[in-house]
Amino acid sequence: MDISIVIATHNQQERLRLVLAGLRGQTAAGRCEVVVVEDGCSDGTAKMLDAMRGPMDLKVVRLQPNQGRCRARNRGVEAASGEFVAFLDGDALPHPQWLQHHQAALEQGGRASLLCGAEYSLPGLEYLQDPQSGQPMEGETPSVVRDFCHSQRQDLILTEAMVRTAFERIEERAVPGGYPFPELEIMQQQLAALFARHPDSPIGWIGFFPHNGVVAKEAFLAVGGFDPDMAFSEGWDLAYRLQQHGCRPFFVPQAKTYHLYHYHDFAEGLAPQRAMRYMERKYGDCKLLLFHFWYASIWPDPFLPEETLLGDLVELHQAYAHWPTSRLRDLQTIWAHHPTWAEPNGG
Amino acid sequence: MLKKLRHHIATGLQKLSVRLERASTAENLPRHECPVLIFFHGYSLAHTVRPLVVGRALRERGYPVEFAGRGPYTARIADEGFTVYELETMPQSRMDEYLARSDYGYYDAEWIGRCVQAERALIRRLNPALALADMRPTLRLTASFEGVDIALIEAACNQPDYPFPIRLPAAFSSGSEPFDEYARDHLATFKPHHTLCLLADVPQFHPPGAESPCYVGPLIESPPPRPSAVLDDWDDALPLVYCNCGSTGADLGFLDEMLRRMADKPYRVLVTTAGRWSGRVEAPNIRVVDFVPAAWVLARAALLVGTGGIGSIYHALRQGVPIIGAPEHLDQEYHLNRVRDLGLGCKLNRDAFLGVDPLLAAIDDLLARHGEFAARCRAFAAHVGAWDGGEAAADAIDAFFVAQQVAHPIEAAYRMPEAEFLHQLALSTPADLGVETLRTLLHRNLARGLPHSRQGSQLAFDRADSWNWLYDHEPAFFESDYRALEEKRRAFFQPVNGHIALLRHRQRYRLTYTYRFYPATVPDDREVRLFLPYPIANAQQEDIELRACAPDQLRACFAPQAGFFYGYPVCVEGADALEFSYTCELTVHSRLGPTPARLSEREHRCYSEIEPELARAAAVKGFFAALDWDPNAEPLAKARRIYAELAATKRFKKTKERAQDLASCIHLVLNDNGGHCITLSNAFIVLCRAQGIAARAVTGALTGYPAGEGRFAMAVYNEILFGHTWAEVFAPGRGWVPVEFHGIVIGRQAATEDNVADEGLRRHIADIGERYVDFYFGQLDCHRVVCSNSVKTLPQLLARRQTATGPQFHTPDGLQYECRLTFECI
Repeated sequence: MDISIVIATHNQQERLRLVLAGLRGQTAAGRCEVVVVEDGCSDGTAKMLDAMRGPMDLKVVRLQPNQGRCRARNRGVEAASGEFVAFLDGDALPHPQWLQHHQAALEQGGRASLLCGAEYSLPGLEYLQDPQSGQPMEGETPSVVRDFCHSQRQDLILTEAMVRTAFERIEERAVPGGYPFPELEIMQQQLAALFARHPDSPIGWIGFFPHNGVVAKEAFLAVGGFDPDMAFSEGWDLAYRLQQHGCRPFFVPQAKTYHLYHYHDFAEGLAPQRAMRYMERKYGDCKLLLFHFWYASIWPDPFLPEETLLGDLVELHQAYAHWPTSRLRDLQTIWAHHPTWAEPNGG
Repeated sequence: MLKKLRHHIATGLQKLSVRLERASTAENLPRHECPVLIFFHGYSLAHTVRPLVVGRALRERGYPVEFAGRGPYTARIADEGFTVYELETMPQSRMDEYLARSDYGYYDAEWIGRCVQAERALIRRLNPALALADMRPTLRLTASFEGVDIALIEAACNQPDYPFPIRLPAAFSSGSEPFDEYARDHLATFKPHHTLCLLADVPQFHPPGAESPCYVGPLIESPPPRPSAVLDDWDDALPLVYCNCGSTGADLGFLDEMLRRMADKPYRVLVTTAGRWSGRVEAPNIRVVDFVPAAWVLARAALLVGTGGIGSIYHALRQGVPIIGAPEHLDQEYHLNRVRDLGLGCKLNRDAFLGVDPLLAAIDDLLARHGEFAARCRAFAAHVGAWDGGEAAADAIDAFFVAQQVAHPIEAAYRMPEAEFLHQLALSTPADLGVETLRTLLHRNLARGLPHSRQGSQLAFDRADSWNWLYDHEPAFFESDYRALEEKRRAFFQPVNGHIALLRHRQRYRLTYTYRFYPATVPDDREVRLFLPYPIANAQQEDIELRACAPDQLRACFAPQAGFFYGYPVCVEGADALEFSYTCELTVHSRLGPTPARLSEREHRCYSEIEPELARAAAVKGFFAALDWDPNAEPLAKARRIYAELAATKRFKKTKERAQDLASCIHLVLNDNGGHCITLSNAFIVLCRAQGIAARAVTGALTGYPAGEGRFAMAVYNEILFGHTWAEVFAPGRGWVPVEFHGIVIGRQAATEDNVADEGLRRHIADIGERYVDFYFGQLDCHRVVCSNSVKTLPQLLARRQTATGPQFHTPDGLQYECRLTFECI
């Protein structure tokens, strides 16, 4: 099985160092090419990658200036030589058996597989220590945080040595979901339930995240790759097209990645809805509207009446697969007049 | 220059005017009857001096002031003639041990218990009018146990939405969890009290967050300070660096190396150690002492070096002296961030002290650029010097006591001018009570205790408290309401063999709902959207047909499955009042239709789960501990027992909860003698779920008062009509069972000695109420309609406003609206 791992990164040198250490420790058999797209980095990533070329089959694509992760990943896939491409991010640490599980799933699912791995998060890494020395990094780390990290080093330090030799200690600290929020754990549970009950669900694409997924390079190129106009939730858009193209989503819960937690500006909290709205228009699929009424059952939207909510992904599946479009009428009315989403003074 | 002088004079006059106004308001304040008990942390100089500064000012004004605390600085207070009570206090050694590893969890359950017990005992003994504290986090709990008003000296950087927050790792604990747990485990009955927050800061240094806090300025010793001989016989040709090591904190072992390296520097170094260092120093440019008055030495210093304690910082800034700081604790991080950002000095990493080199480099740098730093510091000194912390705190406490003297202080959110209150009453009471009758009722009860306030000739009432008072004390008001509702019940119920039975199980209605609002109360630069509730099809009601709506364009927003006319855009210009209405027909059944005999796993989880903290709350545990029941009974029997207990012990009243979530409602109901339909139903739901019984809320509207043959009507002002709430409890094998608290609205608890003049009516209420309480567990009537629960969270009118973070929809503060609902039996 010939798989290229594609990582797009932007100024995450220390986290990327850990990710690459995780890739060097993979148990999977066979050739494994790693393509890192260094997307406008200015933090020394290039130098770090140059030093890594020896120990691993590493290909570096340099983009200047920063192109955004969709373009960067597309360039990475173009440069990849594998039959399949597996996506990681520069802050998504793979479990040692991550690739092995994806390989096994590909053997079972075949060339049309669209593999969706499981996301975990490693909290407490907001002020990442030096992955080589385990010491506080230079810069704006408050003194109290330095003391805190020092006193809690058993729980907070993450070094290359741990990735190589003590991954079980890292696993102990992980929480389900891409960020340490209970909502993302619920979402992960719902994904598992959806794939268990409806393995052929037409909304299986919703389980794909571009920092832990695998697809055939040919299929990726056939659907045009990531949409560079999407700033967020671009994985759903890609996976939607791949599923339309004939790929079949599989959930591979054993293929785990661990998000090396960092601060994220969640002021853009509406990004998933915005992405889905973009997809509705792009594909003319009016049933994508249902997504909003599921999403609000996890992240409450005070403007949506509770009678309209879809309680979990299984309910979303039922509605998407079986509701006649006439049943969407009320939801369309609501979305058209939603205080956040309606056009000003429109409706 | 002239402009500056004018501004200075104007500011001064303004402050004088405020002080004079406060003084005149507080003139008649019987301060001698308002004893103040001040808690201090005597292990820290700063947390001893701050309360002492306030205590002096209060004593000066005539308040009886006593102190309570423990620690080596206690004598400072006692020496000024104050009574000081020895009190259990967290020892500094324990705090330092925890803080050394940035662990702010030094208060565990045992220490919280020890401090709370000590505070409670002293407060019961002394019965102060106000308990004031600095660095005494347990006092908030004690206040909730004892119901004593408190004033807390706090830092602006710890307030919500402080504009310059420090991003901390999620795992970093603030140490607040044990306090929450202690309250949950021990606080069975919350005693109401007031909390006054005194921010010992300058807003230009630590600006306010979202709320409007009470700044009192730095609470530091005022100049002129005591002189010291420590600088005598010391050549002052060299600049003086004042190094304050603080009275608490990390070990001062680093001083040996630091002072050795400073020995040949072209500046003098005066170090204060609070007796925490026993080393020796021979260098002529260095002197080490235990203590020196900061205000005095900083008037002579070029630079302050320290850990960034707020006392030292404000002393330095008041003298215009630049600062070099290396923080040990989180609050010092905040202070030194501001010193750095305002260009008032330099912030170092804490390791700078230990490594010495970074500190020496920073001193060299700051002395080399002293002119520019000193100029900024001198300019900033005006902000600090404008405050007299003790006097400002005393002013705030005066104002606090003055506010307590008002007979019926009315919160702004509940205040209604007389005309508006009368309008509200006239709309929502039976027709026989016209505006003039109601006005007479109000005026004749002013002297009898009806909550009100008066500004000149203008009367104002409290929309909740004044209504409750009328309901409980005024027979004309209560009886009119009771008799009208009794007439309605006669149309639906009949007594049979000592019980209540339904006359009919099914009724078809023509229902007309009208929403009217006044655009003048919505700023016209806003986009407005309406969300009008509409009955939903469910197990109790069916065949819902929209007949008409006005304007007809409302149909474009009609979403019947969601239970709303949703988001109708309105132009608010050019009308005094705007009215929107619809008419529909529907059939209502008294019995629920078929409901599932079993819940799905998700439904069970959704309707059975509550926050674990809620289930373990002392108030909830106390409720069950006092309940005479069989804990192993069937779920429905247990639910009935919970219902019966609430119905027997609670009465109907309007309440003022800010949130109507489950947690707020259970605490409100269990800590009070009653509530309204939402709070009682939610409390019931929490108690059921605490027993693992699935329960949920249902929302709708009752038919209101009789309005002619086969017609009922109700109207409200600035309230929602579709907000009536009842509960449903799930009985496995049987399905959802309705539980309605209406019985207590019309039962014996509703009647008081004052509100029922008619003896016959009193007997009738006592008799009939029990029957309705019995009826409404498991049965429902058909004089109600059901709508979406979301009517309680989705306001009927939202206006769009532009904020710093983008457009937001909200309910305008002054919005005035009316809702009318008529039911016509067809």
